[in-house]
Amino acid sequence: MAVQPTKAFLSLQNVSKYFDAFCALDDVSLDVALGQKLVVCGPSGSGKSTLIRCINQLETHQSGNISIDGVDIDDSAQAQTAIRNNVGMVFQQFNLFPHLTILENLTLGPVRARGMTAAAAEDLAMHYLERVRIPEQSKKYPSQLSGGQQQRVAIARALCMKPKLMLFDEPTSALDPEMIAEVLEVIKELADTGMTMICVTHEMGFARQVADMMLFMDHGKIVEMAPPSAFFSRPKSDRCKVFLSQILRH
Amino acid sequence: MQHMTQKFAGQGRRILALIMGAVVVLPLGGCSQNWGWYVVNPATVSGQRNLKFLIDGLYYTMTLSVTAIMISIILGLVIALPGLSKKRAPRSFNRVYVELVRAIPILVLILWVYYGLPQVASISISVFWAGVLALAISDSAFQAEIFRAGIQSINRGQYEAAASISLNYRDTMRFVILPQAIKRILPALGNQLVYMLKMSSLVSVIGMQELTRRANELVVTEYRPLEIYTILVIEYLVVILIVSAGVRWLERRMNAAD
Repeated sequence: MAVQPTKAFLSLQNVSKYFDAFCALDDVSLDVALGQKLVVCGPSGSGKSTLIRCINQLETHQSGNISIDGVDIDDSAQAQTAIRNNVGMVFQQFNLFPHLTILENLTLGPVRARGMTAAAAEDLAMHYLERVRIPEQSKKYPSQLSGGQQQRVAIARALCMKPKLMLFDEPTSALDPEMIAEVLEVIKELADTGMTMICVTHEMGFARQVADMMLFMDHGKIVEMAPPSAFFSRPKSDRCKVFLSQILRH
Repeated sequence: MQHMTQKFAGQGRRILALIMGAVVVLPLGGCSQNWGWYVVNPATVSGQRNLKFLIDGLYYTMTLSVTAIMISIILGLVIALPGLSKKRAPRSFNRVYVELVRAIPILVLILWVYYGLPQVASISISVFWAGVLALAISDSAFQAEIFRAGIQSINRGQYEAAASISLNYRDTMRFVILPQAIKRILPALGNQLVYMLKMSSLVSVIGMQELTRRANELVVTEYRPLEIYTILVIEYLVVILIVSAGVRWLERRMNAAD
Protein backbone atom coordinates (compact mmCIF):
# COMPACT_ATOMS: atom_id res chain seq x y z
CA MET A 1 0.00 0.00 0.00
CA ALA A 2 2.47 2.58 -1.19
CA VAL A 3 0.70 5.88 -0.63
CA GLN A 4 1.86 8.24 -3.32
CA PRO A 5 2.63 11.60 -1.79
CA THR A 6 0.13 14.01 -3.22
CA LYS A 7 0.73 17.00 -1.00
CA ALA A 8 3.02 17.47 1.94
CA PHE A 9 1.40 17.01 5.35
CA LEU A 10 4.52 18.26 7.06
CA SER A 11 6.79 20.72 5.37
CA LEU A 12 10.08 22.26 6.51
CA GLN A 13 11.58 25.06 4.45
CA ASN A 14 15.07 26.36 5.12
CA VAL A 15 14.78 25.71 8.84
CA SER A 16 17.73 26.73 11.00
CA LYS A 17 18.22 26.35 14.72
CA TYR A 18 21.07 27.61 16.86
CA PHE A 19 22.02 26.83 20.44
CA ASP A 20 23.98 30.00 21.13
CA ALA A 21 26.70 29.85 18.48
CA PHE A 22 26.27 26.14 17.76
CA CYS A 23 24.28 25.48 14.61
CA ALA A 24 22.06 22.45 15.31
CA LEU A 25 19.96 22.69 12.15
CA ASP A 26 21.44 24.31 9.06
CA ASP A 27 18.94 25.35 6.41
CA VAL A 28 16.96 22.09 6.43
CA SER A 29 14.12 21.52 3.96
CA LEU A 30 11.92 18.45 4.01
CA ASP A 31 8.46 17.36 2.85
CA VAL A 32 6.56 14.49 4.42
CA ALA A 33 3.26 13.22 3.04
CA LEU A 34 0.62 11.36 5.03
CA GLY A 35 1.52 7.69 5.31
CA GLN A 36 5.26 8.20 4.79
CA LYS A 37 7.76 6.58 7.14
CA LEU A 38 11.06 8.38 7.53
CA VAL A 39 14.01 7.00 9.42
CA VAL A 40 16.65 9.53 10.41
CA CYS A 41 20.19 8.46 11.26
CA GLY A 42 23.53 10.16 11.67
CA PRO A 43 26.32 10.64 14.20
CA SER A 44 25.52 12.14 17.59
CA GLY A 45 25.22 15.91 17.53
CA SER A 46 24.19 15.85 13.88
CA GLY A 47 20.81 17.48 14.59
CA LYS A 48 18.50 14.42 14.34
CA SER A 49 16.77 15.02 17.66
CA THR A 50 16.65 18.75 17.14
CA LEU A 51 14.93 18.16 13.79
CA ILE A 52 12.01 16.27 15.29
CA ARG A 53 11.90 18.42 18.41
CA CYS A 54 11.46 21.49 16.20
CA ILE A 55 8.52 19.83 14.46
CA ASN A 56 6.46 19.75 17.67
CA GLN A 57 8.14 22.90 18.98
CA LEU A 58 9.87 21.43 22.00
CA GLU A 59 12.62 23.53 20.45
CA THR A 60 11.82 26.70 18.57
CA HIS A 61 13.54 27.29 15.25
CA GLN A 62 15.09 30.68 14.57
CA SER A 63 14.62 30.93 10.84
CA GLY A 64 12.80 29.20 8.05
CA ASN A 65 9.30 27.84 8.02
CA ILE A 66 7.59 24.69 9.34
CA SER A 67 4.01 23.89 8.43
CA ILE A 68 1.77 21.04 9.57
CA ASP A 69 -1.45 20.30 7.69
CA GLY A 70 -1.18 23.68 6.00
CA VAL A 71 -0.74 25.65 9.24
CA ASP A 72 2.47 27.61 9.75
CA ILE A 73 4.13 26.67 13.02
CA ASP A 74 4.97 29.65 15.21
CA ASP A 75 3.91 30.62 18.74
CA SER A 76 0.32 31.42 17.74
CA ALA A 77 -2.62 29.60 19.31
CA GLN A 78 -3.60 28.25 15.91
CA ALA A 79 -0.18 26.66 15.45
CA GLN A 80 -0.30 25.14 18.94
CA THR A 81 -3.67 23.58 18.09
CA ALA A 82 -2.25 22.16 14.85
CA ILE A 83 0.60 20.52 16.78
CA ARG A 84 -1.69 19.30 19.56
CA ASN A 85 -4.13 17.72 17.14
CA ASN A 86 -1.63 16.11 14.84
CA VAL A 87 1.68 15.22 16.40
CA GLY A 88 2.57 12.51 18.93
CA MET A 89 6.00 11.92 20.40
CA VAL A 90 7.95 9.07 21.98
CA PHE A 91 11.09 9.94 23.93
CA GLN A 92 14.37 8.13 24.44
CA GLN A 93 13.89 8.17 28.23
CA PHE A 94 10.16 7.23 28.01
CA ASN A 95 9.22 10.17 30.25
CA LEU A 96 6.26 8.40 31.79
CA PHE A 97 4.67 10.12 34.77
CA PRO A 98 6.08 8.14 37.73
CA HIS A 99 3.36 9.12 40.20
CA LEU A 100 0.50 7.92 37.98
CA THR A 101 -0.55 4.37 37.12
CA ILE A 102 -0.15 3.13 33.56
CA LEU A 103 -3.84 3.70 32.93
CA GLU A 104 -3.67 7.22 34.38
CA ASN A 105 -0.64 7.98 32.24
CA LEU A 106 -2.73 7.10 29.19
CA THR A 107 -5.99 8.80 30.13
CA LEU A 108 -4.56 12.12 31.38
CA GLY A 109 -4.20 13.64 27.91
CA PRO A 110 -7.53 12.45 26.47
CA VAL A 111 -9.45 13.62 29.56
CA ARG A 112 -7.71 16.97 30.18
CA ALA A 113 -6.76 18.05 26.66
CA ARG A 114 -9.45 16.33 24.58
CA GLY A 115 -12.32 16.63 27.02
CA MET A 116 -13.16 12.92 26.93
CA THR A 117 -15.10 11.33 29.76
CA ALA A 118 -13.05 9.15 32.11
CA ALA A 119 -14.89 6.02 30.98
CA ALA A 120 -14.34 6.68 27.28
CA ALA A 121 -10.68 7.52 27.90
CA GLU A 122 -10.20 4.26 29.81
CA ASP A 123 -11.73 2.26 26.97
CA LEU A 124 -9.39 4.02 24.56
CA ALA A 125 -6.40 3.44 26.84
CA MET A 126 -7.16 -0.27 27.22
CA HIS A 127 -7.54 -0.55 23.45
CA TYR A 128 -4.04 0.80 22.90
CA LEU A 129 -2.56 -1.13 25.82
CA GLU A 130 -3.84 -4.27 24.12
CA ARG A 131 -2.23 -3.14 20.90
CA VAL A 132 1.14 -2.80 22.62
CA ARG A 133 0.38 -6.09 24.38
CA ILE A 134 0.45 -5.06 28.05
CA PRO A 135 -3.20 -4.58 29.11
CA GLU A 136 -2.53 -6.60 32.30
CA GLN A 137 -0.13 -3.90 33.58
CA SER A 138 -2.68 -1.08 33.57
CA LYS A 139 -2.94 -0.75 37.37
CA LYS A 140 0.80 -0.73 37.99
CA TYR A 141 3.18 2.21 38.27
CA PRO A 142 5.88 2.84 35.64
CA SER A 143 8.72 1.88 38.00
CA GLN A 144 7.22 -1.61 38.30
CA LEU A 145 7.63 -2.22 34.56
CA SER A 146 10.68 -3.16 32.50
CA GLY A 147 12.21 -0.60 30.17
CA GLY A 148 10.69 -2.25 27.12
CA GLN A 149 7.27 -2.28 28.73
CA GLN A 150 7.63 1.36 29.76
CA GLN A 151 8.48 2.39 26.23
CA ARG A 152 5.48 0.48 24.87
CA VAL A 153 3.31 2.32 27.40
CA ALA A 154 4.81 5.58 26.16
CA ILE A 155 3.87 4.64 22.61
CA ALA A 156 0.33 3.81 23.71
CA ARG A 157 0.15 7.11 25.59
CA ALA A 158 1.05 9.01 22.42
CA LEU A 159 -1.45 7.00 20.36
CA CYS A 160 -4.29 7.80 22.77
CA MET A 161 -4.10 11.38 21.47
CA LYS A 162 -4.89 10.05 17.97
CA PRO A 163 -2.00 11.78 16.23
CA LYS A 164 -1.60 11.77 12.45
CA LEU A 165 2.19 12.00 12.73
CA MET A 166 4.32 10.12 15.23
CA LEU A 167 7.82 11.26 16.17
CA PHE A 168 10.23 8.76 17.71
CA ASP A 169 13.39 10.14 19.31
CA GLU A 170 15.78 7.16 19.58
CA PRO A 171 13.05 5.00 21.14
CA THR A 172 15.34 2.02 21.83
CA SER A 173 18.60 3.73 22.79
CA ALA A 174 17.93 3.57 26.53
CA LEU A 175 16.86 -0.08 26.46
CA ASP A 176 18.69 -3.27 27.32
CA PRO A 177 19.38 -5.30 24.17
CA GLU A 178 16.82 -8.00 24.93
CA MET A 179 14.04 -5.42 25.12
CA ILE A 180 14.74 -3.63 21.87
CA ALA A 181 12.93 -6.19 19.70
CA GLU A 182 9.60 -5.93 21.54
CA VAL A 183 9.54 -2.15 21.12
CA LEU A 184 10.58 -2.23 17.46
CA GLU A 185 7.90 -4.85 16.80
CA VAL A 186 5.23 -2.52 18.16
CA ILE A 187 6.53 0.39 16.07
CA LYS A 188 6.58 -1.84 12.99
CA GLU A 189 2.98 -2.88 13.56
CA LEU A 190 2.09 0.78 13.89
CA ALA A 191 3.83 1.50 10.59
CA ASP A 192 1.84 -1.31 8.96
CA THR A 193 -1.41 0.47 9.89
CA GLY A 194 -0.33 3.37 7.70
CA MET A 195 0.74 5.77 10.47
CA THR A 196 2.93 8.62 9.28
CA MET A 197 6.15 8.57 11.26
CA ILE A 198 9.59 10.05 11.62
CA CYS A 199 11.91 7.85 13.63
CA VAL A 200 15.41 8.70 14.79
CA THR A 201 17.20 5.40 15.30
CA HIS A 202 20.39 3.48 14.71
CA GLU A 203 18.56 0.15 14.32
CA MET A 204 19.35 -0.33 10.66
CA GLY A 205 17.63 -3.72 10.32
CA PHE A 206 14.44 -2.08 11.55
CA ALA A 207 14.98 0.87 9.23
CA ARG A 208 15.34 -1.41 6.21
CA GLN A 209 12.00 -3.08 7.01
CA VAL A 210 9.96 -0.03 7.91
CA ALA A 211 11.29 3.07 6.21
CA ASP A 212 10.17 4.24 2.82
CA MET A 213 12.73 7.01 3.04
CA MET A 214 16.10 7.18 4.81
CA LEU A 215 17.65 10.45 5.94
CA PHE A 216 21.30 10.80 6.88
CA MET A 217 22.19 13.95 8.82
CA ASP A 218 25.53 15.44 9.68
CA HIS A 219 26.42 18.86 11.12
CA GLY A 220 22.81 20.01 11.06
CA LYS A 221 22.25 19.24 7.40
CA ILE A 222 20.39 16.48 5.59
CA VAL A 223 23.33 15.00 3.70
CA GLU A 224 21.56 12.13 2.05
CA MET A 225 17.93 11.21 1.47
CA ALA A 226 16.98 8.06 -0.41
CA PRO A 227 14.72 4.98 -0.26
CA PRO A 228 16.34 2.28 1.91
CA SER A 229 17.35 0.02 -0.98
CA ALA A 230 19.39 2.76 -2.62
CA PHE A 231 20.51 4.22 0.70
CA PHE A 232 22.09 1.04 2.00
CA SER A 233 23.48 -0.31 -1.27
CA ARG A 234 24.71 2.88 -2.93
CA PRO A 235 25.25 5.69 -0.45
CA LYS A 236 26.42 8.73 -2.38
CA SER A 237 28.29 10.83 0.13
CA ASP A 238 31.54 9.80 1.76
CA ARG A 239 30.35 10.75 5.22
CA CYS A 240 27.33 8.50 4.86
CA LYS A 241 29.51 5.64 3.62
CA VAL A 242 31.81 5.97 6.62
CA PHE A 243 28.87 6.16 9.02
CA LEU A 244 27.16 3.12 7.55
CA SER A 245 30.34 1.07 7.49
CA GLN A 246 30.87 1.86 11.17
CA ILE A 247 27.33 1.16 12.25
CA LEU A 248 26.87 -1.99 10.14
CA ARG A 249 30.26 -3.46 10.99
CA HIS A 250 29.05 -5.26 14.11
CA MET B 1 8.34 -3.68 54.91
CA GLN B 2 9.50 -5.67 57.91
CA HIS B 3 12.42 -3.31 58.21
CA MET B 4 10.16 -0.26 58.05
CA THR B 5 7.86 -1.53 60.78
CA GLN B 6 10.78 -2.20 63.06
CA LYS B 7 12.21 1.20 62.37
CA PHE B 8 8.86 2.79 63.11
CA ALA B 9 8.50 0.86 66.34
CA GLY B 10 11.98 1.99 67.35
CA GLN B 11 11.05 5.58 66.60
CA GLY B 12 7.86 5.31 68.65
CA ARG B 13 9.78 3.96 71.62
CA ARG B 14 12.34 6.76 71.44
CA ILE B 15 9.66 9.42 71.43
CA LEU B 16 7.81 7.76 74.26
CA ALA B 17 11.00 7.47 76.29
CA LEU B 18 11.67 11.18 75.84
CA ILE B 19 8.24 12.20 77.04
CA MET B 20 8.20 9.74 79.89
CA GLY B 21 11.63 10.91 80.90
CA ALA B 22 10.48 14.49 81.05
CA VAL B 23 7.29 13.64 82.92
CA VAL B 24 8.99 11.37 85.48
CA VAL B 25 12.25 13.20 86.11
CA LEU B 26 10.98 16.76 86.46
CA PRO B 27 8.42 16.20 89.26
CA LEU B 28 11.10 14.46 91.32
CA GLY B 29 12.39 17.92 91.91
CA GLY B 30 9.17 18.41 93.84
CA CYS B 31 10.94 16.89 96.86
CA SER B 32 13.08 20.01 97.17
CA GLN B 33 11.90 23.36 98.49
CA ASN B 34 12.05 25.01 95.06
CA TRP B 35 9.30 23.01 93.40
CA GLY B 36 5.63 23.49 93.98
CA TRP B 37 3.80 21.06 91.81
CA TYR B 38 0.56 21.58 93.74
CA VAL B 39 -0.21 24.34 91.25
CA VAL B 40 -0.86 21.76 88.53
CA ASN B 41 -1.59 18.73 90.68
CA PRO B 42 -4.37 16.80 88.95
CA ALA B 43 -5.46 15.40 92.32
CA THR B 44 -6.66 18.79 93.56
CA VAL B 45 -9.54 20.88 92.20
CA SER B 46 -7.45 24.00 91.70
CA GLY B 47 -4.64 21.98 90.10
CA GLN B 48 -7.14 20.42 87.72
CA ARG B 49 -8.57 23.81 86.85
CA ASN B 50 -5.11 25.21 86.18
CA LEU B 51 -4.10 22.25 84.04
CA LYS B 52 -7.29 22.48 82.01
CA PHE B 53 -6.74 26.21 81.56
CA LEU B 54 -3.24 25.55 80.22
CA ILE B 55 -4.12 22.63 77.96
CA ASP B 56 -7.18 24.38 76.48
CA GLY B 57 -4.73 26.77 74.83
CA LEU B 58 -3.79 23.88 72.57
CA TYR B 59 -6.95 24.45 70.56
CA TYR B 60 -5.82 27.96 69.62
CA THR B 61 -2.20 26.99 69.04
CA MET B 62 -3.32 24.26 66.66
CA THR B 63 -6.01 26.22 64.76
CA LEU B 64 -3.69 29.22 64.50
CA SER B 65 -0.76 27.16 63.19
CA VAL B 66 -2.74 24.94 60.86
CA THR B 67 -4.71 27.82 59.35
CA ALA B 68 -1.52 29.83 58.95
CA ILE B 69 0.41 26.97 57.34
CA MET B 70 -2.38 26.27 54.86
CA ILE B 71 -2.51 29.90 53.82
CA SER B 72 1.27 30.13 53.67
CA ILE B 73 1.48 27.01 51.45
CA ILE B 74 -0.99 28.48 48.96
CA LEU B 75 0.68 31.89 49.19
CA GLY B 76 4.10 30.26 48.82
CA LEU B 77 3.03 28.45 45.66
CA VAL B 78 1.55 31.63 44.21
CA ILE B 79 4.84 33.43 44.93
CA ALA B 80 7.01 30.53 43.71
CA LEU B 81 5.45 30.15 40.23
CA PRO B 82 6.42 33.63 38.94
CA GLY B 83 9.93 32.86 40.20
CA LEU B 84 10.12 30.05 37.63
CA SER B 85 9.00 32.21 34.72
CA LYS B 86 11.22 32.81 31.73
CA LYS B 87 10.22 36.47 31.84
CA ARG B 88 12.15 38.93 33.94
CA ALA B 89 9.30 40.90 35.56
CA PRO B 90 7.60 37.95 37.32
CA ARG B 91 11.00 36.72 38.49
CA SER B 92 11.82 40.12 39.97
CA PHE B 93 8.47 40.16 41.78
CA ASN B 94 9.34 36.80 43.31
CA ARG B 95 12.81 37.94 44.42
CA VAL B 96 11.61 41.22 45.93
CA TYR B 97 8.80 39.53 47.86
CA VAL B 98 11.03 36.78 49.23
CA GLU B 99 13.88 39.09 50.24
CA LEU B 100 11.55 41.66 51.79
CA VAL B 101 9.46 39.24 53.83
CA ARG B 102 12.46 37.24 55.01
CA ALA B 103 13.98 40.43 56.38
CA ILE B 104 11.09 41.17 58.77
CA PRO B 105 11.22 39.52 62.21
CA ILE B 106 8.03 37.56 62.90
CA LEU B 107 7.33 39.35 66.17
CA VAL B 108 7.61 42.72 64.43
CA LEU B 109 5.25 41.55 61.68
CA ILE B 110 2.69 40.36 64.25
CA LEU B 111 2.76 43.73 66.01
CA TRP B 112 2.53 45.62 62.76
CA VAL B 113 -0.37 43.58 61.37
CA TYR B 114 -2.35 43.85 64.64
CA TYR B 115 -1.71 47.48 65.54
CA GLY B 116 -0.65 49.05 62.23
CA LEU B 117 -2.68 47.38 59.50
CA PRO B 118 -6.12 48.38 60.90
CA GLN B 119 -5.06 52.03 60.74
CA VAL B 120 -3.51 51.85 57.27
CA ALA B 121 -6.34 49.85 55.70
CA SER B 122 -9.10 51.12 58.04
CA ILE B 123 -10.28 47.62 58.78
CA SER B 124 -10.75 45.87 62.09
CA ILE B 125 -8.87 42.64 62.53
CA SER B 126 -9.27 40.06 65.28
CA VAL B 127 -6.32 38.80 67.28
CA PHE B 128 -6.70 35.38 65.66
CA TRP B 129 -6.64 36.63 62.08
CA ALA B 130 -3.88 39.13 62.77
CA GLY B 131 -1.82 36.21 64.09
CA VAL B 132 -2.71 33.96 61.16
CA LEU B 133 -1.93 36.67 58.62
CA ALA B 134 1.42 37.60 60.16
CA LEU B 135 2.54 33.97 60.53
CA ALA B 136 1.35 33.08 57.02
CA ILE B 137 3.07 36.01 55.33
CA SER B 138 6.26 35.43 57.24
CA ASP B 139 6.31 31.73 56.37
CA SER B 140 5.21 32.20 52.75
CA ALA B 141 8.65 33.45 51.74
CA PHE B 142 10.20 30.21 52.98
CA GLN B 143 7.43 28.14 51.42
CA ALA B 144 8.05 29.90 48.10
CA GLU B 145 11.72 28.95 48.19
CA ILE B 146 10.86 25.36 49.09
CA PHE B 147 8.35 25.11 46.23
CA ARG B 148 10.77 26.69 43.77
CA ALA B 149 13.48 24.18 44.62
CA GLY B 150 11.01 21.29 44.50
CA ILE B 151 9.58 22.26 41.12
CA GLN B 152 13.05 22.89 39.68
CA SER B 153 14.13 19.41 40.73
CA ILE B 154 11.60 17.79 38.38
CA ASN B 155 13.15 16.48 35.18
CA ARG B 156 12.61 18.53 32.03
CA GLY B 157 11.37 15.37 30.29
CA GLN B 158 8.23 15.52 32.41
CA TYR B 159 7.33 18.93 30.98
CA GLU B 160 8.07 17.70 27.48
CA ALA B 161 5.95 14.59 27.94
CA ALA B 162 3.10 16.75 29.25
CA ALA B 163 3.44 19.04 26.24
CA SER B 164 3.48 16.03 23.91
CA ILE B 165 0.04 14.99 25.17
CA SER B 166 -1.24 18.56 24.75
CA LEU B 167 -1.55 19.52 28.40
CA ASN B 168 -1.66 23.27 29.01
CA TYR B 169 0.46 25.00 31.68
CA ARG B 170 -2.18 24.68 34.38
CA ASP B 171 -2.81 20.98 33.85
CA THR B 172 0.91 20.29 33.51
CA MET B 173 1.50 21.86 36.90
CA ARG B 174 -1.58 20.39 38.55
CA PHE B 175 -1.37 16.81 37.35
CA VAL B 176 2.28 16.25 36.45
CA ILE B 177 4.75 18.59 38.13
CA LEU B 178 3.24 19.58 41.49
CA PRO B 179 2.27 16.09 42.67
CA GLN B 180 5.87 14.99 42.16
CA ALA B 181 7.34 18.20 43.57
CA ILE B 182 5.14 18.12 46.68
CA LYS B 183 6.22 14.57 47.41
CA ARG B 184 9.84 15.67 47.31
CA ILE B 185 9.32 18.72 49.50
CA LEU B 186 7.09 17.01 52.06
CA PRO B 187 9.88 16.71 54.65
CA ALA B 188 10.57 20.43 54.26
CA LEU B 189 6.86 21.26 54.56
CA GLY B 190 6.74 19.16 57.71
CA ASN B 191 9.63 21.15 59.13
CA GLN B 192 7.76 24.36 58.36
CA LEU B 193 4.70 23.11 60.25
CA VAL B 194 6.86 22.39 63.31
CA TYR B 195 8.46 25.81 62.92
CA MET B 196 5.00 27.37 62.67
CA LEU B 197 3.80 25.64 65.85
CA LYS B 198 6.73 27.14 67.70
CA MET B 199 6.39 30.59 66.16
CA SER B 200 2.70 30.70 67.07
CA SER B 201 3.82 31.29 70.67
CA LEU B 202 4.78 34.81 69.61
CA VAL B 203 1.13 35.64 68.92
CA SER B 204 0.71 35.61 72.71
CA VAL B 205 2.02 39.19 72.74
CA ILE B 206 -1.16 40.51 71.14
CA GLY B 207 -3.35 38.52 73.54
CA MET B 208 -4.09 35.30 71.67
CA GLN B 209 -5.24 32.76 74.27
CA GLU B 210 -2.90 30.02 73.06
CA LEU B 211 -0.53 27.86 75.11
CA THR B 212 2.10 30.47 75.88
CA ARG B 213 -0.34 33.27 76.72
CA ARG B 214 -2.24 31.05 79.11
CA ALA B 215 0.97 29.99 80.82
CA ASN B 216 1.94 33.66 81.22
CA GLU B 217 -1.44 34.54 82.69
CA LEU B 218 -1.34 31.65 85.12
CA VAL B 219 2.16 32.59 86.23
CA VAL B 220 0.89 36.07 87.08
CA THR B 221 -1.90 34.75 89.32
CA GLU B 222 -0.16 31.68 90.82
CA TYR B 223 3.42 32.90 90.82
CA ARG B 224 4.89 29.44 90.08
CA PRO B 225 6.81 30.15 86.81
CA LEU B 226 9.10 27.12 87.06
CA GLU B 227 6.30 24.54 87.21
CA ILE B 228 3.99 26.27 84.77
CA TYR B 229 6.64 26.93 82.14
CA THR B 230 7.84 23.34 82.54
CA ILE B 231 4.33 22.20 81.71
CA LEU B 232 4.41 24.59 78.73
CA VAL B 233 7.64 23.03 77.47
CA ILE B 234 6.12 19.55 77.77
CA GLU B 235 2.98 20.70 75.94
CA TYR B 236 5.00 21.90 72.92
CA LEU B 237 7.22 18.84 73.08
CA VAL B 238 4.28 16.42 72.93
CA VAL B 239 2.49 18.30 70.14
CA ILE B 240 5.59 18.66 67.97
CA LEU B 241 6.75 15.07 68.42
CA ILE B 242 3.29 13.84 67.42
CA VAL B 243 3.20 16.15 64.39
CA SER B 244 6.70 15.05 63.34
CA ALA B 245 5.70 11.39 63.57
CA GLY B 246 2.59 12.18 61.51
CA VAL B 247 4.66 13.82 58.79
CA ARG B 248 7.02 10.84 58.66
CA TRP B 249 4.05 8.49 58.40
CA LEU B 250 2.69 10.53 55.49
CA GLU B 251 6.08 10.46 53.76
CA ARG B 252 6.29 6.69 54.06
CA ARG B 253 2.76 6.29 52.74
CA MET B 254 3.51 8.47 49.74
CA ASN B 255 6.76 6.66 49.04
CA ALA B 256 4.95 3.34 49.19
CA ALA B 257 2.66 4.56 46.39
CA ASP B 258 5.38 4.07 43.79
